[in-house]
Amino acid sequence: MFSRRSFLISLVMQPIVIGSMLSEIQRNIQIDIQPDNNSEFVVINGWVFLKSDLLKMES
Amino acid sequence: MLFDLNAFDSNASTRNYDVCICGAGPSGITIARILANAGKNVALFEGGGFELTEASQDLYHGKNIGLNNWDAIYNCRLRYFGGTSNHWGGRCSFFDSVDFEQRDYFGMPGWPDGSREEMFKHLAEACAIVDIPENIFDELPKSHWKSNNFRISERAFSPPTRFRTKYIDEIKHSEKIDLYLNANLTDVRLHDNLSSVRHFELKNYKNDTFQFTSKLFVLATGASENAKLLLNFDKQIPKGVGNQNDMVGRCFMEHFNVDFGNFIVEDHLMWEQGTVQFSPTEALIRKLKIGNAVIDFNPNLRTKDYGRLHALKQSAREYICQTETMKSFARKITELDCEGDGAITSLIEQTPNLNSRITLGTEKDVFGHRRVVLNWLPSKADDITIRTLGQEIAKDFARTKLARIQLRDFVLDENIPIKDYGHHCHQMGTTRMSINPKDGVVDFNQRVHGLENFYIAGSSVFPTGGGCNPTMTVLMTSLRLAKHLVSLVN
Repeated sequence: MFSRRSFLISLVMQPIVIGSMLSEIQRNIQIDIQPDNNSEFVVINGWVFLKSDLLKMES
Repeated sequence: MLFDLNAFDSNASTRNYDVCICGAGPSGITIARILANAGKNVALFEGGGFELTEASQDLYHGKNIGLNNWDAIYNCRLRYFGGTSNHWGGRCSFFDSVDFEQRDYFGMPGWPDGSREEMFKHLAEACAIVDIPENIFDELPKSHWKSNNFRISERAFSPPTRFRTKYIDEIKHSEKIDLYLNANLTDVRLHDNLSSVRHFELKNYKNDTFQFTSKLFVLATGASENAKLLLNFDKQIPKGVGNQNDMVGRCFMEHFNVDFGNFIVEDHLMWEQGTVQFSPTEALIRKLKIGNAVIDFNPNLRTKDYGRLHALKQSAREYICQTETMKSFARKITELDCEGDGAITSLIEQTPNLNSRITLGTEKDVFGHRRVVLNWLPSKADDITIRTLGQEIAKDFARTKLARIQLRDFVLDENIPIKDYGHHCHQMGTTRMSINPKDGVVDFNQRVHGLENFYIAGSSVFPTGGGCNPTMTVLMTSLRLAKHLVSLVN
């Protein structure tokens, strides 16, 4: 369990750390496999997604 | 009765035995008990004593020139009464129907027809031996999760049963079993026509030699030592006993333990109790022409450094390095706990591979036997199984919203070599069962091809290894062999 202090610290740090994470991911992002246009899956940095799930995230 | 061969008078007369069994591990003990209960006289030989000693364990030292640079036999096996059950983890599971089918893409024949039916006749007895109820597999919890491609693996856990602890008194006081400790099989002498065994030759650690005769003989010393001994018994047959077709030692199999990657739990209900294990459905195995497997999803119930947490911590560490401000805050982030991420490990069937094998080196042990050289090798079919399983389970979990999976690069890209195949200390297949002597060492009844009265027991007779821990299969095949031997002695 988080202590209240840890929680406050994480609250303060989140934008900074996640911001740096995102910029890092953006630099390194790669599509690992694109089997074919008809595939229902896409792989990003090793993570396997349903294409339809990604579309939901974007919208 | 109990005898220590180190203190045995070489002039002492021995009883006439119906069956001599070499190796007092789960297989040898099981066979001896069944024979004794049927009123047969048994000599049971154990190379070690009741405790682990370096003198006995040293006989497992060898060289590994194949996968994973570790002393596989020395570290995985225990050479004293009770054998490797003395450090068994206790997981019990069974071969599936598909494991008994002839799978052409394996390149070698599998279990002979009828093996499954014969084996499962002995399920109840095998369960009793390892102290689990026979119906435990019927009572396993059912899941709300449904998939056509993967299923939750059936398993049960033995306490685990230590054969030394459980059976030591029964065997010590048996009127039908003579247990000889520190009794090392050094030769199998055949009759002049080379069609049957005349006697076992054994040595104690003082190098005194003893001969034991019986009607039937059984070798049950484990997949590595069975092969080592047969190849070393070359006085009458230069290639080794049972090795007329150059099959002894070949098709050494393990279960691969591949680290597929990480996952983030989506359906939390599934992982409330911790690790969940999945296997491909039999339909998927047939459709994709792959081996069987168990894939372990181990969620972090305590903090570890995987997945999202790893990325978060890594960013915090970089932040600490890049700036002088807020260092203590960043350090705090690296210490945060979070649940829900986990690692994926596996137990994957290895296809029988003629080039994956045990041979003998030039270095000799204390009895003058050449030591084992293990060349454990995967095949292309194994790489296909590994990559296919990883990709299919990631897609299946994305589709069924069970978990989000991040696969290692080698799973996704066949051009990236698999560096670590892992292992489970499940050594199998060096004296495989076959109908045609050209494909193996023993027949359907585990009798050595070409010899009338010599049998082999244990996982070395497995033609294929399935996707499960081998203990229950070892016990069921040993029970079947024991009853066959009873009928022969009768």
